[in-house]
Amino acid sequence: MKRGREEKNHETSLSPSRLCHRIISNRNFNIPIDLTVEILKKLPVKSLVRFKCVSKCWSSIISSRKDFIESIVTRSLTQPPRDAHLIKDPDNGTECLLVISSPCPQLTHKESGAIYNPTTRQSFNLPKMKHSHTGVCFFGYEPLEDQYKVLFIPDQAHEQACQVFTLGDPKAKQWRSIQNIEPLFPSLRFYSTVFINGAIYVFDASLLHAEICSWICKIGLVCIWR
Amino acid sequence: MSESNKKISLISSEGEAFEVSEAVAREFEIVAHMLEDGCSGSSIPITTVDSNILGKVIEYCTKHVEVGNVEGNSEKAEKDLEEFDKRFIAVEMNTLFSLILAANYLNVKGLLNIGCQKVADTIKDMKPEEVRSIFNIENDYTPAEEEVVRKENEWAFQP
Repeated sequence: MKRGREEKNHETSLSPSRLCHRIISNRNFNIPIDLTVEILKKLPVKSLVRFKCVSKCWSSIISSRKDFIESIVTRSLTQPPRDAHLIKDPDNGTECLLVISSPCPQLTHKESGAIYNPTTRQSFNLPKMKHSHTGVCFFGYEPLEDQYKVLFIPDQAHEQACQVFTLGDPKAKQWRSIQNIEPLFPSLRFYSTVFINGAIYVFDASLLHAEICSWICKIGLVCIWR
Repeated sequence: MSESNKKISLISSEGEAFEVSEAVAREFEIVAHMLEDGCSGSSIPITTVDSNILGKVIEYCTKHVEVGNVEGNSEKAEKDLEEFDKRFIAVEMNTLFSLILAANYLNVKGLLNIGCQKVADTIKDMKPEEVRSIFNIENDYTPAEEEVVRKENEWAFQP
């Protein structure tokens, strides 16, 4: 209980003033939350996952404290990206259920997909859509709103709208339909696409006839997703 | 202005005075701010840190100021400093925590950083129970709750 209250008091950045009433000597240590967070930031992921068992307070720092998670993400982005892996549906050898990579997985959709984080070994099942069709999913980070999103583009564009799902947003528990990207469907659906820094880059077939070597068209997800 | 010759006394919680150069005192950001705010007294009370720990923090800052003042041969100096940091921070856990608390209070960023890193390196392979005992943390999980968290994260308990 005592620690729980302390956590609330130490949510902001380091501030020395709160220590003033205590004398720092080596007979007296009670590490405040902000310093605990600084120590945790220096631990490898495996230790962090294990230390969720230390206390509820530690678990909440490790799983949900924003500045802590941001610091771990920043650290992890300095590491070289991992290779992508394909996980195939055993019932359907040709269709790929889930593609993982770090930090940007991409997955091909069946009824409902999942996102797997190879670092924490956690997976998250995406909610089912009202109408289920097959299609393609993109997963990525949208920097302006600081959110991770999944974009679903159905095979049959005339039967179902594109859908977006926002991760970690308690208000958005379901897929949301989005309009106005229908003209891009053929490119998105049938040609090579790659997701880089919040945007999908598409190989645009209509430019094939022009004598241009790079046929890449950028679709800013910011405008699609709002 | 020969700032470097100016001496400042830092007074520990027991009232013991530690005379240091202004450059060393300024390594304590909290003192640097006081000096900038026009607190020009030659003795500054550090009432929350005891003599033992204050002496160690001063030792750390003195070494870092000394090395910072040496010109040329910077690669060797940097290596020496790294060695010094390593030896300096190789202390038992209670002292380490005290150093971190003092570094946080006095705002000595380098010391805070190596202190936190040392704690992390020490605990990284430990079991949750050992960490609780080191950090003085009461286990607020019920056995059943703890079992669930353990199960969910089983891979992290394997060597």
